[in-house]
Formats: sequence, C-alpha cells, structure tokens
Amino acid sequence: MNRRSVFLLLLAVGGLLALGIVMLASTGEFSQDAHGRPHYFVYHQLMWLGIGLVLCFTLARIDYHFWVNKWPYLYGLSLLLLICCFVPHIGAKINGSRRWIHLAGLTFQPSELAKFASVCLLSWWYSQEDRVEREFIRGFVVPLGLVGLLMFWTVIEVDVGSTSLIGATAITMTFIAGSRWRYVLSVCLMGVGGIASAIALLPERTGRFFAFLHPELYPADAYQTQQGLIALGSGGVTGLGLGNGRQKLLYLPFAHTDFIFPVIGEELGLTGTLGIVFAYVIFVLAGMSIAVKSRDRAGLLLGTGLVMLIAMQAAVNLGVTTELLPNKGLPLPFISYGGSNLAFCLAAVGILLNIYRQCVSEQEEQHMEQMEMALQAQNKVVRL
Amino acid sequence: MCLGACVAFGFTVFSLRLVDLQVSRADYYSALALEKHSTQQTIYARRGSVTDVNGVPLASNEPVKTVVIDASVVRHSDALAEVLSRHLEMPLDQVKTRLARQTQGPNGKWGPSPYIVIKKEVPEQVAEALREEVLKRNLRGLVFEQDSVRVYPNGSMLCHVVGFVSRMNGGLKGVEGVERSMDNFLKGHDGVRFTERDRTGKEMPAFRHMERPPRDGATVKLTVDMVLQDIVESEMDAAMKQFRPKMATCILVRPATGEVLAMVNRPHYNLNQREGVPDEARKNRAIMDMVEPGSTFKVVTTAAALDLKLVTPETSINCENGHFSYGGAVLHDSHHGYGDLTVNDILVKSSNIGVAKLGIKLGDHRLYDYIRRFGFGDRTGIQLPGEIGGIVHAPRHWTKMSITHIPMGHEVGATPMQVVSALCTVANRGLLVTPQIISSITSSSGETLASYPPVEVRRVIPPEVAEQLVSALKEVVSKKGTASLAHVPGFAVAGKTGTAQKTSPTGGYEHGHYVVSFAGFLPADKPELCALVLMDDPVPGSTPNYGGYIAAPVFSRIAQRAARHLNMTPNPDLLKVAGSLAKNEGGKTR
Repeated sequence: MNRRSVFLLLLAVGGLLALGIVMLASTGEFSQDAHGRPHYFVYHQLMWLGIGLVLCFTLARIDYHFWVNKWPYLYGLSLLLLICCFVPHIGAKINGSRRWIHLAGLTFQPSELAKFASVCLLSWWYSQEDRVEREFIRGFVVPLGLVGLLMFWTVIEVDVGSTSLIGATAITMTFIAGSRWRYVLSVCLMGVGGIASAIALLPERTGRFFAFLHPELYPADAYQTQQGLIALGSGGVTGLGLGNGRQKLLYLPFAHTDFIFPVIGEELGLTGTLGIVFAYVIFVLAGMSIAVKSRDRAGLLLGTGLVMLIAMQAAVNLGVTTELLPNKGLPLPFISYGGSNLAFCLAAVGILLNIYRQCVSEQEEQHMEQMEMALQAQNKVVRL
Repeated sequence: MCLGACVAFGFTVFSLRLVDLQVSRADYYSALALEKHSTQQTIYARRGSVTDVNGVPLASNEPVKTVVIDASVVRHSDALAEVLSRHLEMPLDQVKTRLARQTQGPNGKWGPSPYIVIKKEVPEQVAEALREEVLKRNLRGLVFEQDSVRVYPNGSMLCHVVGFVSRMNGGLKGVEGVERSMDNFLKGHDGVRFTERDRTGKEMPAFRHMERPPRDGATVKLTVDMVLQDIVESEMDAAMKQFRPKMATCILVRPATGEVLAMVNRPHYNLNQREGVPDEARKNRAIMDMVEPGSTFKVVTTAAALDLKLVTPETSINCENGHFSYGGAVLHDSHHGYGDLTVNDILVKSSNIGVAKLGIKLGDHRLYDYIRRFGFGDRTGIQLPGEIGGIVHAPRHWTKMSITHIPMGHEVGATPMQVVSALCTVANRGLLVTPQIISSITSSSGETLASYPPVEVRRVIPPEVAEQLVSALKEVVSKKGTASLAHVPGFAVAGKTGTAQKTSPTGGYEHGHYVVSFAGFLPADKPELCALVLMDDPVPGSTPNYGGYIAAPVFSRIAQRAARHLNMTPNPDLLKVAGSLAKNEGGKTR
C-alpha cells in the first residue's frame, strides 16, 4: 500500500515537472522579460530544477526529525530573511511588493522558507511527550502566535497569498493535532475577518478582490482573469495544440508564472487541465497516505503540513485562474516558472520521501497487527 | 482521511468548473478570442484599364508607394524626420508633428502610433532613394505600402470620353467619362485577409487564415480607334487655330453599328493635370451640350414630308424669292432668294422658306412625331455619363412661328450626338441605331463579361425615302450644293451643312454669332463613316461664316485621312472628278 503511494506520488510530481518545462518552452518565449532569448526561462527553470532535485534527494536522506527539532533555527532564519526584504540593496522591490532578496546573483523568496519553518514549528509543538494540543494557551495561542509573527512580516511585504497559505496550513495542522473545535472555528472566523480587513486596507487588493466579483466594473483589474478565461475557454476539449496558444502572446500577463494554467488549458484543452487536477489529487492522496503511515506524530504532522501547503497553493492558483477565487499571485506548484517555489516544493517531496523511508514497514505492520489481535484476544480472555 | 476527502472534493469543484469553462462555454470564449486577435485587412483590387478598340491603353495604373512610419520602433526620431523631409520634399515641422502622434493601444495605454502615414503617392524612384538612405543610416520604423495611381498615357486625347477617377475611402471612384459609367466593371472587388495580432499589434503570419483574394477590375475596350482619334484631334486643332471658335465638337461614327470611332471636344484638358481646369473644358459637349442644329435639321423635315407622300423629290415649292411672311414675321433665305425649287433643291440650296413650307404642309403633330422618331428629345443611350436629351417642345407649347422655325432647326435643342445619330439613320437607310462607345468588357482572368452588339432602336423611314434623301444629300456636296468643300476625293459624300444663329442668353438671336456645322457620311451608297464637325462661334476672318465654308473643309480633311486608315476603297471615277472640283474651290457653296 505505502509502496504504491510513493510510486504514485513520484509519478504525479514527475509528470507535473515535465509538463511545466514543456509549457515554459511554449510560453516563455513571448514574455516581455525574456530578454530576447527564447529559451531564457527554460534554462533558468532547468537550473532550478537541478537544484531542487539535489535538494529533494539530499532531504530524502536526512532524518526529518532534524528539521522538526531544529525549528528555532529555521524560524529565526526565516524571520531574519523576511526582515531583510526591507533592507535596501538586499531586498528587491518588484511590482510594488518587497517579497524578494537578492543574494549571490539569485533571487529568493523568504516566504517559502517561512512556510517550511511554520510547518516544522507546529510539528514539533504538537509531537512533544507533554501533550498540549487541547490546552488553550500552551497548545493554541503560543504556537499560532509564533506563526502569526511570520505571517505579519509576510503580509506587510504585501504577499497576502503566502500569508493566507501559511495561516490555512497552520489551522489545518492544529486541527489534525487535535485542537478543540471551538478554537479552530474561532480562528477560522478571525482569519476571514483578517483577510477582509487586509483587503479593505490595501487598495491594490481591494481592486483585485472586487474585480473577481464584478469583472465588468473593474476592467483593468479583471483583465488578467478575463484573459485567462478566454484562454481556457477557447482551448475547448482538445486544445489548440501545443505551442499554438495565442493568449500567451502578450495578451495574458504572467503567462509563464502565475497564469500558466490557462495557457495549458488553451493549448492542451480539457484533457490537459483535468490531467493536472488529477495529478494534484493523486499527489495529495499519496502524500497524505505516506504521512498517515509515518512512524510518529512528528512525521504525520510534518507530512500533512507540507502536502497541505502544496495542495492549497495549487488550489488557490486553480481557483484564481478559473475565477472561483479573487486574484492572488501564487504560482502553480511544480509547473510555474519560479525558482524558490520549485525548490521548496521539491524539498517538501524530499522530506515526504524521508518520512516514507522511516515509516512502519509492512512486515512491522503485520507484526503489530498480530500483536494487537493478540492483545485484543488477551483482553477478551481476561473479560471472559 | 476526512481531510483527504475534503481535498478530493475541492479538486472536484475545479474539475466541474473546468468542464463548464472548456466545454459548455468554449464557443463563447473562442469567439471572444477571435474577436480580440483578429483584424481585417483589405487587399485592394487593381482597377481595370480602359483601352481603345485595338487595345491601346487609355487609362492604366502606375505603382507608387505610401510612406508609413511605425513610430513604436523609431529610435532616432529627429534624424528620421530630417531624411523624410529631404526626400519627400515636405516641411520638417510637418514631418515632426506627424511622427509625434500618439495612439491608444489595445491595453488602453497611450504610446507612439504604429501606423503614421507620412506621404501618399510617392513615386518608385523617390521611395527607392529613401529606402537606401534609411538602410545606410540604420534608421528603423520605415514601411512602404504598395499603392497605385491612375495614369492616362494619352494626356488630353479623348479626355472627355475616358474621364478620370478620384480617391474615395481608400479606393478609386470614377468621376467622369467611361471611368464613371463603367465604374462597376473597372473597380473590381477588394479582397480581405483576416490576420491575428499580438497585443502590440504585430501581425502573426503563422496565424494568418481565411483569405479572400481580391478580384481585379475588368478591362473596358472602347469602340474608339486612337488613330482616328488622333486624326480628328489634329484636324480640330488646326481648325481651332484657324477659326478660333469658342467651342468645337467632332464625332466619328460607323453608321451601321453605331460605334463611335472618335469623339473630340474643344476646349479640352490633360487628364493627368486636372487642377484648376475650368468646368467648360471638362464638359463632354458632344453629349452634354445643346445647340440649335440649324440647317442639318432640314433633313428631318424633308424626310417627314417625303415619307408621308405629301411631296416627291421633284415637287416644286415656291420659295417666295427670299421673303416669306408667316405668323406676323418675315422669313429670309440666305443671300438671295429663290423662285420655285424642287424639294430636292430645297435641301441642296438649304432654303429656309422651302423647308418652312414643308413644315406647314406637315402640320405641328406630324412634324413633332418625326422629330421624336429621329431621336431628338431623347438621350441616344451612349454609354457615357451625363448625357442630356435636348429640348423638343411638344406642339401645345409652340408659338405661331414655330412651324416655320422648327423645320430649319431652330427652337429645338439637340446634342451633337443626336445630330450624328439622325444622319446615321439616313445613312442606314432609315434604321435608327443606338450609338455605342463600349466595345467589350473583359475580366482580369480573360473572360468576356459583356459585349455590345448593335442595337436597332426603330425604323424611322422606309429605305426608299432614305434613298431619295441620300441622293439629295449627295447633291449638297456637289458644285451646285452648299457643301462642295466637304468633297472627299474618290468617295461620294452625302451631307448637310448647318449654320444657326446663336441664341442670346437674354432671348432672341445674336447677330454675327453662329454655330456652324457639317454632318455627312461616305461612301454615300454604302456608308462606312459618318461624321459631324461643329464649331460654336468661329471667327471666320475672310471666310464666309457658313457651315459650308468652315466646317465642311474640316470634314473633308478628316474624312480623307479616316478613309485611308479604314482602308475604304475609293471609286476611281470619282477620283477624276476630284481634280476638276479642286480647281473650282471657290465655287458656289453655302
């Protein structure tokens, strides 16, 4: 069972990665910032893919407990890097957001590290011998407060997408850890309120948010989504054929990053888009089944947290491009152009592989089942 | 596992949404995409050419370039403006203003316009020089678009018939002449190319589809023979020099078919340099101008009287010795009066009194009927725009004197074309044929779209009566007739002179101002050529101001040269007579 899970997981990830490179070759050429080199993005992405794969296989060999136990370092580093985004010469301001830092010729988004740090923090917190998950202060307020600090620095650099992602994953993890329903629900409501106030306070978001509800009233803000829908819709069932998409020809902004999904829909049609959705479902189910079978609570929480991060990111991207959700700038995992996200996703896969490596083997499982049955039989005997 | 189910459900929502978008609404979005990317581009059709009967081009197209600038790729605007202004001979400021034009792109942003027309109709050589300099200096943004201008290789020859075009809505539209009347055939049908463009408006050749090729205009072949036209033009120029008439017209027609072989009007103009040409010069007087035909009209009256058997050619009519009182006015014959004249001689001597008496014999209605049957008062139907029908008043509007004036060609307005057409009827032995100037229309692919066989309108008079008229008209061009100077060596010519006093704009007639004309055909027995020479208000100098002295010699010269070109066989007997006639040139003519 678990063997099949990891096989399916790797198949889904491999398929998505391959499709991502192919689609980037199709769309990247027409992007305005391709610097006139048709394969600029493909080479860059291949480089990052290499880094990501190395990371993936390295992490698969490192005991995941290392990350869980070293969370304070990860936490401190991501906080430092998030603050660095606001330091001149290190932080880079692109499209009005300070999400990036420049180091050694590479551009990196610290929010990716912050996601990982949050998941590690919560996994450690709820996997201690001293079970705190049903307590309010120690088991709920303190861990979420720590995550909230990261979210604060993420949101003020204007990255509502990543912030919501961290928040949603954190809440899901407290739920999985076994927090009380009322805590979880109240925080959910607070989260909704927080998003609402963020939307109201940030003018850039206000336009984008209402553009989603009333595209005709905000043509400038709805432009991107509308172009995405035209791309998806004109693809039909079979698509126009690989490379034949027209929307990527400067009509659709960010066709190679956040809005690559509509281009896939245009060129490969419903077959391609449903294939992607199916691949993500396989990824999530396989990832979950690995996490569930993990050796301990830390593995379960870390695995589900990482799978949730990627799944939610995919869900938000699909929701945005199909006009089910307001416009959020989140890349499509494994497919969109963007080095740090790809590296992060592959790192997550690496950790999942490590969780799998350490999971209870089938022999052990059978043994444990036998033990359990024996115990139950014993109990029965005792009762009798 | 509950979480896994949630995730699966969440992705199911996306799947449903995708099916909705990509299946249910695919058509809607495809249409939207097409609308967004596609642009229609007109491929202009070439205008057809106009040729004479032998295929000599009269109107054709010459390639020129339109200089367009794509300002979005221009880097050195000032240098480009300087080069453009130097080569195109335009003020530098004007070029700079045009280059600075901004337009709103499809994304709503304002930017340099990608399509600025700097100058149209730039000759090929100028465009080539400009291209070379721009290439050498590595300036970007210059685009040449292919265009064509209409040129008329013969300049002013046949200008009134060929007409010209003007540029309207990007295409050429015929304004006058054949260019106008045959516009539907000449203009062709523009083609359309649907292309897709990216957001910056650049064409994507890979996405070019649905192209409807243009259909070039058809070639219109006229019946006019440019050799004959040249003969007539040169003779008319000589006549203009000699007699300095205000206006003049000459028409050559092949009587049996109604084909117009030449048509000349003076004043005229150069079709390639139309600026500042007065309306008078642009007018095709042969079909647009009315004159009182004068004595040539006597043929009609005589024909009517003969046809109704009121008289025979030998019937004697008293011509009152030149003074005939009728309706309270006195009618005169030219110079000196005549006593009794036969009907034949009335035509030969062109007696006003004699023909007036024939008119009186006919009565209002019968005279009016014959005038209309000869085609007066109606457009002839020639394929040229702007033809007028002339004026023939109905009898109820006639005055008492009308019955004496109309028979000799006064009080009626006729176009020169109508006069020729009426004379052709006599030449055709009584059959009225529609004059035509279009020979055939051939499409650009070589298929004949239309041909114009002769159109018989009606039989006006029976052949016997026509024969009687022809023999009288032959005598007109003899020593005893008014038009001995119209004689053509080797051919029997039949014809009639006309000398009409000009009507004054204030009413009545102007003394000393005449419209002189001669209309005739040859050979009289089997006519191949019918011609009218008409001059409005000539200054005769020492020559008597009569059609027989002014118009008839011009006719003679034109007919001689035309007969040679048309390879008409001269009658050897008549060649001998020619010598004796030539000696007697100052003979009795009127």
